[in-house]
Amino acid sequence: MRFWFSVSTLIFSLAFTIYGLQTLSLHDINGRPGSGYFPLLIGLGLVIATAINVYKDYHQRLLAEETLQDESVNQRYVKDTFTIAACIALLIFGLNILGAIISMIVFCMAFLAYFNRGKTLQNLVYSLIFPASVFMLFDVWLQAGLPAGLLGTFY
Amino acid sequence: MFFAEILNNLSFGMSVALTTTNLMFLLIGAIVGMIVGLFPGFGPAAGIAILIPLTFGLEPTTAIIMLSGIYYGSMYGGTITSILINTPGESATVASTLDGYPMAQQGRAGPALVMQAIASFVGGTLGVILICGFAPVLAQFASSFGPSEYFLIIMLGLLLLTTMMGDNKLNGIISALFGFAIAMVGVDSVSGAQRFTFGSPELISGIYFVPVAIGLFGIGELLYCIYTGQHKMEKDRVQFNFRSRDFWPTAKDYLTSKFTFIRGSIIGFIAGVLPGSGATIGSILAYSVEKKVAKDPERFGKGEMRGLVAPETANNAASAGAMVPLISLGIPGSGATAVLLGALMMWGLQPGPTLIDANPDLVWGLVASMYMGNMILVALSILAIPLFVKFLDIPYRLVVPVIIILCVIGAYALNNSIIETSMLLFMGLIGFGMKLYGYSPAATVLALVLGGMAESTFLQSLIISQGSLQIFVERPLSLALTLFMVGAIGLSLAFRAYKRYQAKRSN
Repeated sequence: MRFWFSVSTLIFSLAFTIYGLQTLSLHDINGRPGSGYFPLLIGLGLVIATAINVYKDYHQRLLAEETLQDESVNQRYVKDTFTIAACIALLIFGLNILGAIISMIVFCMAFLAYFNRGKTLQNLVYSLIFPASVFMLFDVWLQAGLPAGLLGTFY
Repeated sequence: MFFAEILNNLSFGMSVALTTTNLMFLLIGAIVGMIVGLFPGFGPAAGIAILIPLTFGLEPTTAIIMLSGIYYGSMYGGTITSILINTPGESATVASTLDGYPMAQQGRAGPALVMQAIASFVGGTLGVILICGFAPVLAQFASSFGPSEYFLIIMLGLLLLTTMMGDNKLNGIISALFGFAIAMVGVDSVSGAQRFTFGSPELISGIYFVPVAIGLFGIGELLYCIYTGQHKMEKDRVQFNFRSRDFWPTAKDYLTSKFTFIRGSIIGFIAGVLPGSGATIGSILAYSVEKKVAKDPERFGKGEMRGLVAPETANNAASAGAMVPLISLGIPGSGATAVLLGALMMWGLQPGPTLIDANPDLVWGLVASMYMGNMILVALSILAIPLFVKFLDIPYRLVVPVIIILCVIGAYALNNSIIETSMLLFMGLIGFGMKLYGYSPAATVLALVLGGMAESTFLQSLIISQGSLQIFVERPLSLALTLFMVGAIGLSLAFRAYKRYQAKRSN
């Protein structure tokens, strides 16, 4: 996975540099550095650094040597990590559709149903009280204007 | 003269900070910071980033005072876990586990907790006094800086931050360049041209700093904690009695540590002032020095009070020291101060040497609040330890939804933008990958915050010199900074080559 992460950084660097070169001018009409000058330097730096990294990781991969950092992570909870990322996505994309309070309740219920199994009452109380407190804090006290969503018709 | 300036600055700061509202928010910040510090992985940078949205409705001075309370509070809170469960709340408290946990195992958890609070207080207080003395001097010196010196200082800060990354220096450089790349999105301040906006109106004003910081530090850290199974770990904390007479340190504890307080504070402060070094290096350095100067170094690592006092004074003095480049040069030296600077910029304040002159109330109010925050935190740490220890008993799986909801709702509340909130998840995933594979989210945030300034100072330098790079070695200070940078790189390469040579020889 480390190798593929490095590859993605290289792809990003190439895309950043090429897009910058295509859309920005390196010098202005007076011959002074233009809007693309500094981004190009960054892009070139990124391409060189990430390419070296990819080479190093590829070399390591060939030698089938795991790095120390990977070894230190002896317990991997990949499924749990994906579940959390999915729950966060659910919360974010539910904000405008369901509204802040409902999406927070749904998020808490989904999260706790997976990570705190068998404690239905505790999960239910938590899923109602905590989102309500956050809603009060942001919407009422800080007047952040959280989306009402499905509850929009009631207030 | 020097002491008069310290007193003047501190008393002016007190006059700004000593209002009921400011004190109340400082107390809230300190408590929240302590709680944040209790959760492994969540240090000051994550704490400040996650909680910035809570300060939106506040006056800038009050808001920054609350954030400084969080900054200091998380340093205090991080040590409690180091002592009781042998798990540092953040990297700056790693050295505190070396003697703190053995003390707790020997039934001296009470004295360890009280002494860490006192040590933190001493370190923080001395640090604040030194800020009042040094920051104006440095700011005055910095007022003669030209754009080339500024650019070099920014680069030096980033360079030192990346060279402190052990074997992952290249990853540190990539992290910093990635931060610069994000900073390039939006309208170019010189030509007015749109850059990397892909025609989206949402990106014209650039990628906002808050979702990036919350994503990298908050969500990224959280995903990493889950990936490493933090939510499945049983916290086996050392139990102790708060009411027993043994709860307090003995006179011997104070006497043996009397010089440790001073040494730790000075080492920590210097480490904090140096860009990229910070509290982690400061605390480890202070511990090593203390062990070196001790007549009985064999006692270290087995529950020695000096082994706890040294890193604790150092990490708090370093937190204060890290404010010096931020206040005097407008250049943060660590991830946490980068987030603080980002918050300052959010309220329309411009980083740079004029920060002190243009906003003295905010700067000295902030410094004074750090001093008062120390007093509040030492009282809280001693009197409310039973309460904070209770937080350690909350299962991690019940804390996760709190962190996620605060991050997401906080990011949304900023501009009510679903794109910015989605950016949070995207940055969170990147932050997770960075943490997993040894990149530096702190370098990314630092570069993001300083990206605009780095570009403008670099281009100004080139315009002044008509495109010649000689401007970076022409003036004595520029030359010194360039040589220092070259020296730092050379030293780092030489050290690496030496390590390889040693490894080859041992094989």
